[in-house]
Amino acid sequence: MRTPQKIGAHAARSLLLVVTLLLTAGIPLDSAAEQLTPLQILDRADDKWELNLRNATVELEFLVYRENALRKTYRMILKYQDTDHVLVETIFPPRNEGEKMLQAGRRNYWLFLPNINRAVRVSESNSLSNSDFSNTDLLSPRLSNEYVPKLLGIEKLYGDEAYKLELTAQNESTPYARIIYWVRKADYFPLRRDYYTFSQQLLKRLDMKASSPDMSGPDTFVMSSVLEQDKKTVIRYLKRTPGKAFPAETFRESALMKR
Amino acid sequence: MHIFPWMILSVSIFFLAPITTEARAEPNPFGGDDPYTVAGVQGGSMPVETGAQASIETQGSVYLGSIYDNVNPDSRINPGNQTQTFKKQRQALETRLTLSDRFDTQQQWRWLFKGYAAKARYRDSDGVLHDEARADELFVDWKGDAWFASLGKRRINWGHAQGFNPVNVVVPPRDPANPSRETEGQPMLWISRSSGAQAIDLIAARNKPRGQPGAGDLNRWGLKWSIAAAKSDYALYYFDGAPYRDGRAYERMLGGSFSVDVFPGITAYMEAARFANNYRNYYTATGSSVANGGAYWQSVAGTSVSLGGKRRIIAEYFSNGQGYSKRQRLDYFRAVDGQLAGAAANLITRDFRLTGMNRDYLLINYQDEWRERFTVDISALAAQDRSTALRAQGSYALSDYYELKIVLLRNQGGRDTEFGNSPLSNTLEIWFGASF
Repeated sequence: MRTPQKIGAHAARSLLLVVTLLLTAGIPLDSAAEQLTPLQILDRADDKWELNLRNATVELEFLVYRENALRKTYRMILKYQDTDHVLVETIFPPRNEGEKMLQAGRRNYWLFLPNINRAVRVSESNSLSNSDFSNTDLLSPRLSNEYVPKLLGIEKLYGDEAYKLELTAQNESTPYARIIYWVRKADYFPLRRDYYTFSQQLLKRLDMKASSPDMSGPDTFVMSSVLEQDKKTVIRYLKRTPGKAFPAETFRESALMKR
Repeated sequence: MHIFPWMILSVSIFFLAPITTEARAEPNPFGGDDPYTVAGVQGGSMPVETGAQASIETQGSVYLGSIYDNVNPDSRINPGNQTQTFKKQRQALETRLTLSDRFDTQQQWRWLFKGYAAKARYRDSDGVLHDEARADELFVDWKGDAWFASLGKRRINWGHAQGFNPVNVVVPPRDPANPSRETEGQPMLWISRSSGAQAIDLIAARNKPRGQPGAGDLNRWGLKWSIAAAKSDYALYYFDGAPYRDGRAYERMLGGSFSVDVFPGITAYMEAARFANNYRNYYTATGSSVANGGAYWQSVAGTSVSLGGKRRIIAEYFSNGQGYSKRQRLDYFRAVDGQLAGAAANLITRDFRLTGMNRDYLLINYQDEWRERFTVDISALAAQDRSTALRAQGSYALSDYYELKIVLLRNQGGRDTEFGNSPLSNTLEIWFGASF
C-alpha cells in the first residue's frame, strides 16, 4: 500500500524529471509563440489585414492631406475576393464617380475611365488616385509572396512589444526593395510598415490601427510621405459586408465596360 | 461680349455652394500622444452589413458656358463664313443625367438611362447650332458568372488605342483630341461569354447615323475575341452589316489590337483594321469625283507613359489608308474652290473630314493634376501636311461639386492643308459646371 508521503515524493521526482528534460532540450517555457519563424509571423500579420477583406465588400473613405490640410476626400467601394482579385469603385466626389481600379491578377492592374468608357493598363506602383498609397499598397496587403522576412528583434512600439521584421524583395520587379514591418507580439496585429526604395531611401511609412477592440484587423491606415513631410493619406473603413461570393467575371478587364 | 452675366451667376453659385470638407484645413491627423489616433475617427465597431441596399443610383451634371469662335477667314471650305455661318459668340448649356438600378436580390439584372440635353451646340456634320435632347443610353443588362447580356441603346468602345480607334466601329467615331465628347450609343443586343482569360463578344446593332439620310436603320453585327494575360492582352474583331439601300455592300471590317506592359508604367499598344470597301470621294485635277472602291487599312501604334500620380503622356501615330495623298488633297481643295465659286451645292464640303485629309498623323496628349484641384489635358495633333490642331483644357475644382473649365482649340496650317482650312481657327470655351 502506497502512503500519501510516497505518492508526493514520486510526484516531486516526476516533476523534477520533466523540468530537467525540458531544460536539457532547450525548449523555452515562456511562450510557444517565439518558436514561430519570421515567415509565420509575417503570414499571421498579413492574415489580420487580409482576412477582414477576403470575400467582402468594404466601403472606405480616402482622405488626401497636403501641407497638413485635407485636400480631397474620396469614398470608394472595394470588392475583395483575394489578394490578386480586387475591384475598387469610386462613389464620391461626383466628378470622379464611376472610376474603377481593377486588379485582375498578380500584376495586372487596370484603370477604367467612365468619361471615355475605356480601361487602360496601369502599373502596380502607380499612385492610387494621386494619394500616398500605390495600387499595390491597398489592394495587395499580403507581402509573403514577394518578400523574404528576417526577424531583426523585438522593440517597444507605442507601449506594445512588437516583432521587427525586415522584408527583402525576392527580385527587382517589386515596387519596394525593403520593408521594415512591426507586428504586435501579443496578437500579430500589423502596426507599421516602412517602405524603402531600391536606392535604400526611406520613401513612406504606413501606420495601422483598429478603431475599436472588436476589430481583429486594422481598419484605419495612415500613409505618410517621408520625403515630403506634410503629405499623408488616411484610409478608414466605413462599412463592411462579409461573406460575398463574387462571380469570376467581376475581376476581368472585359467586365469593366459592362458594369 | 456677354460674359458678365455668366461670371455673376458662377460666382453667386460658388458662394451659395455647401462648404465641403475640402475647403477647410483639418488638424494633423495624428492627434495627442497616441500616433494611431486619427482626428475625426469615432470609436466603436465599423458597421457590418449583411444585405444589399436598394436605391436608384443617380448621377448628373449641368454645365453653363460661353463660347467664342474665331471663324477662319482663310478656310476654303467655309469662304467668308457663307457655307456654315458660324457665330462668333454664344452661350451654351449642357446637362447629363444617369439613372440606374438593380432589380433582383442577386443584383444580376440592371437598367440604366443616360440622358443628354444641350442648348446651342454645333453638330459636327453641318456646323449649324442646334438644341438637342436625346437618350445617350437606355438598356437592360444581365450578368451571370460567365455570361453577360445587354439589350437597348448603349455605347461600347472597341480597341486599345486612346486617341484614334480604327476598330471602334460599333458606335460613331470619337474625336481623337477629345475622346470624351461623343457619348451617344446605338441600339444593340450584346452577348458576352468569359472563360478564364478569354472572352467572346457578339453584337447585333441597328445603325442610326445622324445627318446621313438614307443610311439609317441598317442591321449590323460583329464579333470580338479577346484574351487578357498578366502583362499583355490581345483582341480580334469582325464587323459587318446589311447592304446600304442603294445596293452597296457594307464596309466589312477585320481588325486586331494588343497592348503590352513594356516597363512598369509604360504601356505600348497597336490597332489595325482592314475595311473591305472605300466609298470616299477622291477628286481629279479637273474637279470630278472618283470613288476608289477598294479595300483600305487604318492602323495606330502608341504608347502611354505614367509619370506618377495622374500625370500621363500618350503618343500615337495614326496611318489612314483612306486619307488623301498630297496630290489628292490639292485636287480636292481646287475642286472645292470651283464648286463653291460656282454656287454649286456644298456636298463637296462633306468630304472635308478632320483627321481624314492626310494619311499620317501624330497625336501627343499630356494629362496632369496639381494640388488635387487643378487638372490639365493638352492634345497636340500634327498632320502630314504640317498643319496642327491644339486642344488645351484646364479645370479648377471649386469644391467636390463645382468646377470651372476652360478649353482652347487652335487650328493652324497653310492654304492647302487640313487644319489650315478648318472653318474655325480658334475657339475659347469657358464653362461652369456642377456635378451631383
